[in-house]
Formats: sequence, C-alpha cells, structure tokens
Amino acid sequence: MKDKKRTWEIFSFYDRSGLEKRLAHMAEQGWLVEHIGSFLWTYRRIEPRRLAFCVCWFPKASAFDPEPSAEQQTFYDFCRHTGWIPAASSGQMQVFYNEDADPIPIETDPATEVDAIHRAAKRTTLPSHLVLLVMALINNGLFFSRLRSDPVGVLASTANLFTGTCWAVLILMEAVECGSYVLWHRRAVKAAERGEFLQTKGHRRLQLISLAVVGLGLIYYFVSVLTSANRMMMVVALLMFGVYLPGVYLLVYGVKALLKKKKVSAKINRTATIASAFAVSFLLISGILWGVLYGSANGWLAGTDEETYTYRGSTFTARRDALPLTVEDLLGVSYDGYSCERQTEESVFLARYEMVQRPRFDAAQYKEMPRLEYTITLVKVPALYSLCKDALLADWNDDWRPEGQKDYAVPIASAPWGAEDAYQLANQEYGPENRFLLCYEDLFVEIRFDWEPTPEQIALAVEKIKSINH
Amino acid sequence: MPRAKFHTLTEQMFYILLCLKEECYGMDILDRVPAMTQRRVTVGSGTLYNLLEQFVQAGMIQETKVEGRRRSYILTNYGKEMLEREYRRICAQAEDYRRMFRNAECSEGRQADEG
Repeated sequence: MKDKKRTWEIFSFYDRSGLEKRLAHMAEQGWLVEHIGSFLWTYRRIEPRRLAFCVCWFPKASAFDPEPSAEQQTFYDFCRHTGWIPAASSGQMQVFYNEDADPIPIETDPATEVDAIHRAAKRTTLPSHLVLLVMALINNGLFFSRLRSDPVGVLASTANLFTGTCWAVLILMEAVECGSYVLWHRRAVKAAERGEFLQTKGHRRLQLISLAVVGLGLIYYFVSVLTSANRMMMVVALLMFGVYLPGVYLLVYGVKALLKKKKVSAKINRTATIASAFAVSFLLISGILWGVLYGSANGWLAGTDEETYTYRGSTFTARRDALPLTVEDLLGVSYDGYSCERQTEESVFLARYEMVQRPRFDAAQYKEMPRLEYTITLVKVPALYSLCKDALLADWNDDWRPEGQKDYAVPIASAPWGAEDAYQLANQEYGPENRFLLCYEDLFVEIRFDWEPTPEQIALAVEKIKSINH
Repeated sequence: MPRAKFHTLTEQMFYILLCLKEECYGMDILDRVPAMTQRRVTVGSGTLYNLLEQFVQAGMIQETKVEGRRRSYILTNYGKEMLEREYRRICAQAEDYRRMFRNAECSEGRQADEG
C-alpha cells in the first residue's frame, strides 16, 4: 500500500476557501498534504479523520528562502500555540491543520487577513500573472498579425494553430485569474469594513477546460507531426517537448533546490535561478538548433527518399518524393538528376501541398532541365474559401516593388483549366508570366511552368493535380 | 497611513493593547485576551502576529526583550493615548445608551402614573 500520493491541484492562487475544503476532504480520505511542489502536491497517508485546515499568507516569505526565517518561525510558534500545525508551504502560502473540532481560526480579523493576502499577492503572485498575461497578449498579437498577413500558411499549420490556441487560452486564464482577484479583493475590503470575511470562489472548471483544450491541442499536434513525412519537423518537435521543456524545468528547479539545500540566501538564489533559466534556455535552444542543422547537413535527418550530395564544396539535399504531376508527364522527355520535393502541412482547416521538381546542381544537363513548381491548397472548411482566395490573390498583388515593376494578377479564361476562376501573374515591366492561380470548388492551385504550356499540357496538368483530392 | 488606520480600534486591537499595559510576551496575549474577556473575545494567531507588527510600525507598542524567538512588548505613550481615546469613545457610547434608555424608562414611568 502506497504511503505517498502526488496530485496536480488546480486552484486560483488566492482561493483559500477552495483549498481548505479540498485538503479537509483529502484528510477524510486518509491523506495529509506534506509538500507543495511547482506542479505536484505530495500527500502522506494518515488515519482518515476530520481535520480543520487553514491556508494563509506570510508576505515576507519567499520560495527561495533556504528555510523559514526567524520571523516565520515566530509566526509558526504563534500558530502552534493555538493548535495549528504547519503542514506545507509554497513561498508565501502557508498551510496549517488543526486536530480540534472547533479551533480558534488563525485569522480572526478580516481586515488583517485581506491585507496579508494582498501584500503577498502584490509582491510575487500578481506580478508573475501580469507578466504571463502581457507575454500571452504579445504572442497572440503576433499570431493574429501572421494570420492576417498569411492566413493560408497559418491555418494549414498545426504547429501555428497549436501555439496560437495555447496563447489564447493563457490570455483567458490569466485575465480571469487577475480580474477575479481584483474583484474579490475589492469586495473583501468592503466586507472587512463591515467586520465580515469574504469567502473566495475559484474558477476551477474554467481552468480544467482550458487545460483540456491545450492537452487535446498537444495530442493533435503530436499526431500530426508523427504521422507527417517531415522527419526534421518530427525531430524538432520531439526535442522541444522531450528535451527542451523538461530540461529547462529540471535544471532550473534543480539549481533552486540545490542552492536552498546549501542554505544560500534567497536573494542570491533568486538571481542565480533566473540567470540559469536564461542560460539553460539559450544553451538548449542553441544546442538543438545546431544539432538539427548539423544532422540535416549530414543527411542524418534524411528520410528514405532523401539523399545528400556535394556540389562545389556545399552540401545539398535531393529528394525522390512521389509527385502527382512531373515534367516527364508534360513534356514526354526524361532527364537524370531531378530532385522531386513534396512538403505537406495539414490542419483541421486546410491542407497545403507544396511540390517542386528542380534539377540538382550536379545534374549533367542542369541548364536544359525545366523546373516545375505547384502548390495545392485544399480547403476543408467551406467558410474559409473566400478568405483563402483573397489571401492568395493579395499575395500576388501586394508587391513591394516600385510602380512600373510590380507583379499583379490578371483574370484569364477559366474554361481551359476546368476551373471556376483562373488568374495569370503578370509583371508591369515584363508582361505575363507562366504562373497561374486556379480556383476550383474546394481547392486552389498555384502552378509555375518554365515554359508556355500547350492546351494539351494544361488539360493533363489539371487532371493529374486534381487527383490529389481523391 | 497607520495613524488613520487605527483611528478607531477593533475589539481585538483594544484587548491586545490592554494586555500590553504591562510587559508581555506576544504569544501570551493569545491566552490573556480570552481569559480577560471570559472567552468572549479570542484573537487568532495570524491576526495577533500581524497586528503586533503593525502596532510596532505605528509606534503604539515597542519591543522590550528578545529571547530566542520569544519577543515581549509594552505599550508606548502614544499607544496609551490611543487606548485612552478608544476607552473614552466606548464610554461615550455607553453613556449615550444609558441616557436613551433612562429617558425611555422615565417617560414609560410617567405614562404609567398618568394612566
């Protein structure tokens, strides 16, 4: 039979009422809290019994204190004197239990209690939550800015959608946490003026739902990455979630715990822990980045259809991905030395297949070999069709070059392409190019030929490319 | 502003200060207040700890002795002044109460006599 139990307790930072109820319930089940970690709370087995719990705040305490200060020990002495035994603490939050059926509460004056909670909140908890809120707002702003400038790219990317969702959830959680605290504090001060204690009311359900959303998003992201053919993306995702995040947490937490054990002062511990967080983060990111680039350059991350070759001292990657449409299909000639590359990004909203058939630099007929490039965007949610069409057209029309040299989209006859709408890219200086944007019922095709396609080649291209949807 | 904060004293503040008329260990106040009030008033340990700190900051009490973690305190002149002011306020309240009910009793008596 286990004597220890670890649980993840999700409560608002000021929700003393919710915590006290939860701890009393655990004691009735035979578990007494003995340690509060960053994520997990540790309980030890006891004889099931009714215990009174009190969660209160000691504003001068710090999570970096090597041990309770003399003042905190005096506070504990006061509490012990009235039967309150310290059970666990986390920074300023102190948990006591009392075996008396009707003990004298630790806090008997509501104004003093609200003042202690608010002093503690102002010193550490509120600033941390506000920093997180600002970070989340900035990152969500960047996400929406990317979504505005490149909606197709963002909506097709599971990684982008996952991070965007995470930041949005964080904004919601932090705004609710900070906002509800401010409201509670205002009401608690008024209640204290009347000599009344105001119970706290957390929003545990919202927190659980938010975490479930992030958890499901994470699972979806992992499934997408693990089932994709992009080995580099898979390795990066595994390194980030398997090495970087646990690495930063364990090393930073380890530095903090070690310095506490060595009885280093809270000030030095705080500085060293923050510095180590930056250093560890920088080193791990640099290491992962270097490893991925090095592995990629040496072909370690190459899939079975991938090889590396050296040309004039530089290393390049060539792929042999299956493409629905090739130069050989269209021109009926065959060349040696092509790299056929297919990149897929897929989310619940869009799928985007970028395909290119390019001559390898070391190909004997490099200069004669035509190149073929096309991107297929499959719209899974019909409501996004217009948004995608506008974005793809804007991508062509929104040219940064000066007047007289700009690219622009010209509507052309769609019938030869069997499309609903068709556009050709033209340049103000050089005229029409062999680049086309074709709009079908639920997909868009952007195709670029190195030559002017004949009607037969167009018909074949359409037939082959549309087959990707089936 | 501590002085504004203690413009009027709560019952718990009043009895804590009263205990400190003579030098006393902080922790002993936890027992003295209920004993002094026949358990009508009790002070929580957290409340006492915070109030002692605030009274020291406001100059109403001063630390006299530190023995390990045990600290003893005593009321300052300013603290005595505050306590005295609170006493007068309570007395004035009691006087108002008595006057109101004495008058009421007298008028009730007169009405009974006339009846």
